[in-house]
Amino acid sequence: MKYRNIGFILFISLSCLLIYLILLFSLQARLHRTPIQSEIDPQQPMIAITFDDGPNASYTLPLLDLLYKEQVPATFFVVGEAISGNENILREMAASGHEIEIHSFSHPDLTTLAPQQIREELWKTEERLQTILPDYHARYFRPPYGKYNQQVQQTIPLPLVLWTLDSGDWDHPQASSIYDQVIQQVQNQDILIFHDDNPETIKTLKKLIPELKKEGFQFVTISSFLEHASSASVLLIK
Amino acid sequence: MKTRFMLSLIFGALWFFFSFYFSLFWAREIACLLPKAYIWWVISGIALLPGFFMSSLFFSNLLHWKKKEYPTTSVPVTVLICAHNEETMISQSIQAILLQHYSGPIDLLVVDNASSDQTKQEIQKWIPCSFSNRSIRTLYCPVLGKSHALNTGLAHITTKYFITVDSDTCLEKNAVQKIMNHIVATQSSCVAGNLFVQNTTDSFFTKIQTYDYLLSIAAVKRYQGSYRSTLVAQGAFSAFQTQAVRKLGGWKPVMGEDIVLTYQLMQHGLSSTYEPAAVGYTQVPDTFFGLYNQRKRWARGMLEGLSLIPPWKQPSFFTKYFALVNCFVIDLDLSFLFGFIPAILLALSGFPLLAGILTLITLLVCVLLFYSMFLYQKKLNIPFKNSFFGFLAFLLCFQTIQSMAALHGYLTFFLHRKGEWK
Ligand SMILES: [Zn+2]
Repeated sequence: MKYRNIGFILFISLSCLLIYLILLFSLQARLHRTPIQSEIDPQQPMIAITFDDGPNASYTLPLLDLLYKEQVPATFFVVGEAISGNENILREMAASGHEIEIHSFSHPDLTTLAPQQIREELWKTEERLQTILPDYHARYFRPPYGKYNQQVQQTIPLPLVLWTLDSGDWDHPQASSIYDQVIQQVQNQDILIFHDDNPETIKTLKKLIPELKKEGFQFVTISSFLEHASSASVLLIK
Repeated sequence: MKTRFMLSLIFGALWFFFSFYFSLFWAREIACLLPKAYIWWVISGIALLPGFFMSSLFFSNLLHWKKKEYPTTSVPVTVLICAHNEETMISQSIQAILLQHYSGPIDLLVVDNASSDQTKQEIQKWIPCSFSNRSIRTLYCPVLGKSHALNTGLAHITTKYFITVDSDTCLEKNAVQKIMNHIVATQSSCVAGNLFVQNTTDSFFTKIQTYDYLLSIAAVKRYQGSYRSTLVAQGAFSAFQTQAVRKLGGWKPVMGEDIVLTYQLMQHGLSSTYEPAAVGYTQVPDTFFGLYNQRKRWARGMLEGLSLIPPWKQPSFFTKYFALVNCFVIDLDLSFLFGFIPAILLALSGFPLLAGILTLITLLVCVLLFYSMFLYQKKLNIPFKNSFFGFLAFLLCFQTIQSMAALHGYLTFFLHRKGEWK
């Protein structure tokens, strides 16, 4: 009787442990993905896909899954306030070979702030990212709403990166209309802006990425875009 | 009665929908990390269903906060004690019966169930102590088995009501009076008493069981009793109408003979209630395996009852509902072991998502429920031993032992049944 009890308890405990290890392993595996490889042919058309306002607990992970499946590298302009609770999403993002850049801490209109406040928007976010990714250094900055003035330009010590093609997904339209909007206008050396905070964006990209691949576009992150693109008019480099 | 039940169900349902809405976000956050079916099974088993059951129980008990008082009775009653090798405990339970402050006559019937130790001699010692209002009779049942001993005793009962008391349970001095007042006034077929743990300080395991009896078991009994559908009038201390039990042919020779008997009484449309003021102090197992085996038997007994008389065969709406809830307990035990524990381990390894905030809120509801139950038991003014450490230990490890043993019990029930079919 006693041995049977011990046997049963061992069996159940081991099953518990096994379930835990399987779950842990599958979660860990995401954080140790081999980075997305992309070799750029400067002669071929290329576009940079960027995402603003994340990370988002509900939508960034499925987006990362999609990008990884399609082996598309992207650039995420993250908001400092959204980081807490989503640390593992950022770890996975970095491990997958995406670029993480800064889109302010609390998403204010920077043109209304004092220099000290503007600086804070940058370093507070960078500091949070560094506690999660120790080697992290921000290379680019995208001001909220794309709004900046001379003061913002002078205060932020990083190049400001805007976009050339707005997907319009911030207005939360249907996936089909975001898709139409992009596919009709997209050109070589476009910087596309999306927001990883809604399900329609993911739906759009599921259809859009294969289509863009078919049309011969290569996908690049912002830093390799700068390296290879001929037109850098959207970048305000000091 | 029905209104209050419905109110508590509505309260539970509100909680359920609130937590369901909340868990939609939660599930979406982990949807691409883990298999969907597993996620929903875990969420429902560790947050949604327990939240629903606990909040409706909590609300119902609040609605029934005021304790009913019944007129004092002095009708004759038989107390039936069955003992198998209980030489160390039997004397004090007999003494507790003789010292009862009961205004009527008590006929104490002690059945020696094939004991091989000094139990018989211990019982004999008490015979000279009987006086006009407190008589002692002894019987011998040679066939080993609780149900056989109980049925032997049943044949010799001459009073309209009787009380079963375990040989290791000591009744509080007013217990018989309180439980008799209740059964005579309500005419329930059976009334379950309120059990406290006697050997609280014996070991770690008795300490944690103290709180299971005081807070969980009593809360459930009170909840079910409010609707005259207490699913278990436990053999350790309950009162019965002799005629009703005789009609059923007494106890069945099964593992949980008290559970099956209560189910049968309710199947015949009779009511089963609970009296919190009638307190018995019971001896609980003081070792891990003692506790484990007891809970295993209880789980098996519950399934025996449920399979003999399935919920849909219960005439009362309330009993149907409570029996159905008991079926869900199997699922809850499984998701506790294979959902909650891995989720806690994951949270400790830096992935708190599966454990979730909702589970934390559900745990808070649980603590609130325990606290209200604690206040209620305290209000009875019947002493019980209490320690903060014991309560903490109860919170931390009781459910794991309970679920593990219960699962083992379910398994032996199904294996056993398979054997019978062959
Ligand atoms: Zn933005």
